[in-house]
Amino acid sequence: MEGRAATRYKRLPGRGLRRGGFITVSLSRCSLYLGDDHILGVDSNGFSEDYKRFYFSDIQAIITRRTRRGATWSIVLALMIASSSAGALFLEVESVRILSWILSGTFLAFLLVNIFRGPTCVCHIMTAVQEDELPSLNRLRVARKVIETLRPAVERVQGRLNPEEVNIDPNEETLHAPRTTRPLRQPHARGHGIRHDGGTIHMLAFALILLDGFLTGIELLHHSPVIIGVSFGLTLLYSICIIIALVKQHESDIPGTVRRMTWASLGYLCVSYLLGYVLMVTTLMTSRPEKMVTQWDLYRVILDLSPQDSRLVMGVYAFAAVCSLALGAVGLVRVKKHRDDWASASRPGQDLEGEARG
Amino acid sequence: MEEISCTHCHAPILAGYYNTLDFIPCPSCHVPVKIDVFPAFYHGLRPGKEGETLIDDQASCFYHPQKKAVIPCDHCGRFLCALCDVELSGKHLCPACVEKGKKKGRIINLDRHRLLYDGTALRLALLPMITVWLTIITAPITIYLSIRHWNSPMSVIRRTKVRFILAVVISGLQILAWTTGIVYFVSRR
Repeated sequence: MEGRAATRYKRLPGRGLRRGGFITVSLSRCSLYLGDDHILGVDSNGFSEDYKRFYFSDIQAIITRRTRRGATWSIVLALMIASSSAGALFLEVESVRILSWILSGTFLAFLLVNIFRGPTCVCHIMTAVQEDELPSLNRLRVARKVIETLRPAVERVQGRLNPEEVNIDPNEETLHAPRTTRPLRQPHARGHGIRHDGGTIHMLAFALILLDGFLTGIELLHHSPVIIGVSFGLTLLYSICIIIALVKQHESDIPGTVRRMTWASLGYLCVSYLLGYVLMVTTLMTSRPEKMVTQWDLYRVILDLSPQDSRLVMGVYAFAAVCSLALGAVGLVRVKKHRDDWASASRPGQDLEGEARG
Repeated sequence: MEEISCTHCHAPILAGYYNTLDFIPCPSCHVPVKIDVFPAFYHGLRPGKEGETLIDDQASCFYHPQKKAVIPCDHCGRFLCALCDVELSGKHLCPACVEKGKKKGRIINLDRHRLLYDGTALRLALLPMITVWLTIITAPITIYLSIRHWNSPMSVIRRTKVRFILAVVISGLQILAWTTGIVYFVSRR
């Protein structure tokens, strides 16, 4: 019988984390190893390892899809560098300035590493019975290298493709077929389906964000505690809507732009909460503590906070108004387009049914 | 032949998109994809082997006496028909040997999960150092774990015993430090 040390594996480049579901914090590090007759996928959490073997004779296809994760990280890191550099340049406290420079340097290092590693991708391996993600192949350069390493090994077992197998069926859609009308994401699946979502909750969320943007804009010109109170309520409402929308858009036919807008709204929400917290702390520090006896006094101080009071408050309000208006308006337009596309895609079928009945 | 679907939108992708030199947009969601297809995709699942019926005085399969033996088991030597022949990494085994080998962890290619005792021991030696006082409990446990599982099967991927050695050394130092500290305090009183 096969000995314990019989199989020798050669480590393939790449390492990544396995993501499980909607929002998963995974601690499983994935890597690939090349065996004599198979590839070994190893998921390790430090305490144990899980193995998956893909035999060369069973591998049918490797599907690589480009993603924008790397670009998104670059943007986020660039923003971090900009904000920490601004802090380092404009803050007066020496220790905070040093800390800001250190932070800028760290973010810059991360940004350079991200750029150096190249564009990101997602790789799937397909056999007759399963399609599995290969999280270690998350960079295009690595994925290409690994596929080029695997190809001769697989072809040694399976042989090369015949010319007639690579021929394109003339009845099928070709590479150069016109794609002027963008088709909807098809509710088709290999194992798990995509359902239709009209985007009602997205529309509601973006409408509330837009309304909040208008109110914040009005607040910039004319301070009123009532408007601030209503704005707080709206923020709470659209926070809930965004979370529901994020859950609902998973495995749905909501277009990528709307998805990204929803994620951007969540990002904006986090930033606005952070800014609100900073504003609250600075206000509490500058106002007289003897005035604030009860919790209500604290709320009243926050409600009385006017954009005309300081440049910081004015800046935060202006930022919130611009972001809310932009996110709300663009989001609403995109959801409307998705709804129109769906309506126009389903109409011809209805027309035909009507004609058939007639 | 099965169809390949886009891993982003799950829409089917037609044969014209396979084995292209560069990325091409998915016809449905327009996300750039590259599909490398191998011959197995066109051949589908291989049909299972059937044992041939025994004729006259031919050797028969140990498990199916009415079937013709085609190969002996590489481990136990029993004669096997084509149906009972399990090929694993170039070796031909009978179902019983496969089952036994799987249970005893002798067939590496059937292992799907392994506990990493060396990694666990090293973490157990290092992580409690954050709290300092926890090491009084974890240091002996680490040494026990390292000795107890020194010969236990480790990762399928070949790795050295350096983690075990480090864990033992670190835990030994921790125990030494605790002993010295306790002796010092006792002697001061």
